[in-house]
Amino acid sequence: MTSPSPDTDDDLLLRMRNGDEEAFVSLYRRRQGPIYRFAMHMSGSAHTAEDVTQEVFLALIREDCGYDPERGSLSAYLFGIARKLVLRQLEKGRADVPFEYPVEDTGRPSLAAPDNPLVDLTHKETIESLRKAVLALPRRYREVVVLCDLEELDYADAAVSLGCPIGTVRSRLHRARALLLEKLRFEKSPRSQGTALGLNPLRSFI
Amino acid sequence: MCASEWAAQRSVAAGLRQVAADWSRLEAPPRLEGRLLQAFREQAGLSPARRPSVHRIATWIPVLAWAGASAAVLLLAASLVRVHAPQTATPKPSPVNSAILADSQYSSDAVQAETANLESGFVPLPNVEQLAPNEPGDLVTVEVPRSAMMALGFEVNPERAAETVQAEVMFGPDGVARAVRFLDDGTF
Repeated sequence: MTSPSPDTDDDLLLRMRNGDEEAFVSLYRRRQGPIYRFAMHMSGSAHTAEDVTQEVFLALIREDCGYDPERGSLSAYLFGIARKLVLRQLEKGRADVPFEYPVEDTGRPSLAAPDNPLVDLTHKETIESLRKAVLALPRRYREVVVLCDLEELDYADAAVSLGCPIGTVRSRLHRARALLLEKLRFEKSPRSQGTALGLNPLRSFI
Repeated sequence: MCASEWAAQRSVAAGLRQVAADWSRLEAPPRLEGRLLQAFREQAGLSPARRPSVHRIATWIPVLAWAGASAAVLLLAASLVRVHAPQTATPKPSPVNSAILADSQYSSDAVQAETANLESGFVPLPNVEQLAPNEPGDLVTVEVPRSAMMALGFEVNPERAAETVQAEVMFGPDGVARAVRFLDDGTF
């Protein structure tokens, strides 16, 4: 006996439009995390991320939200709204604040390696460096990295969210990764003999 | 693209996957769901906008008080049904006093003063002891059938008897309802 297939986003949206509260809650719980993280990665502010997430779903609640399934997935549509809201915040200069890491709230998975804390520390530092490097990317590169690499949106949906052709998504992603590599190499070079010898600072990931 | 550059891109992608995994459990604060759910209910017409005072009060009254109130309302309804003789006085309910609504804790002095003279609109319930001076009480807003008002001597339009009306019920520290005040425009 097979379990019933889960409702699609569009199914839930349709039920939600008919006043089904359970459908709204299901849709919210399914999509809030990626939207919140996107806003967090883009703005570096938990406060902004919460505001953006709230506004995204308030927009969805409104009857005239403007979502058209023919143009892309609901997920892409939500990311598109979130992106516009984040950009508005960035233009206001409210979101460019020191990065807040919500340690208590995240339930962040531990990367601890009990047998070798030094290795673990190095690993964590590398991740932290990479995360900061993402945050320091120019906006148009940052958003494509966050969507495609961190939230694993496919290129087509990312293109809808960003309002650009798929080819632009690919090229920006390629350029963004190159920039990240440069930043990490630059960061490591004063301290690491390994980099001076041409070793890859991210070798621990592959 | 040369092999070394390709490998470097792969390493960055792998590193980003680690970042993504590291952050995968990060979610919006739980309080956000509650706010949005409320907005959804209002948008869907599931939340009666004509009763804002109830929501304001609900935010101030502890959950346990509401649980006790639910049981007490049943007692109130039962006591109203038991009364057969109408009261000699026919009190005129006063408009809602926002200052009172804002404060769910009521002093017993205020209760006695209001039940002594009916200007406040509070009607003592039959067969229960009234609050003594300085005895604390709790004020809870509920909805009761208009027909229940007849038992306390109010004149009720029979055509509207099936409708509900808001009422403030004064509870003693033992959770027993002591007095009631009906909140309406006076046209029952």
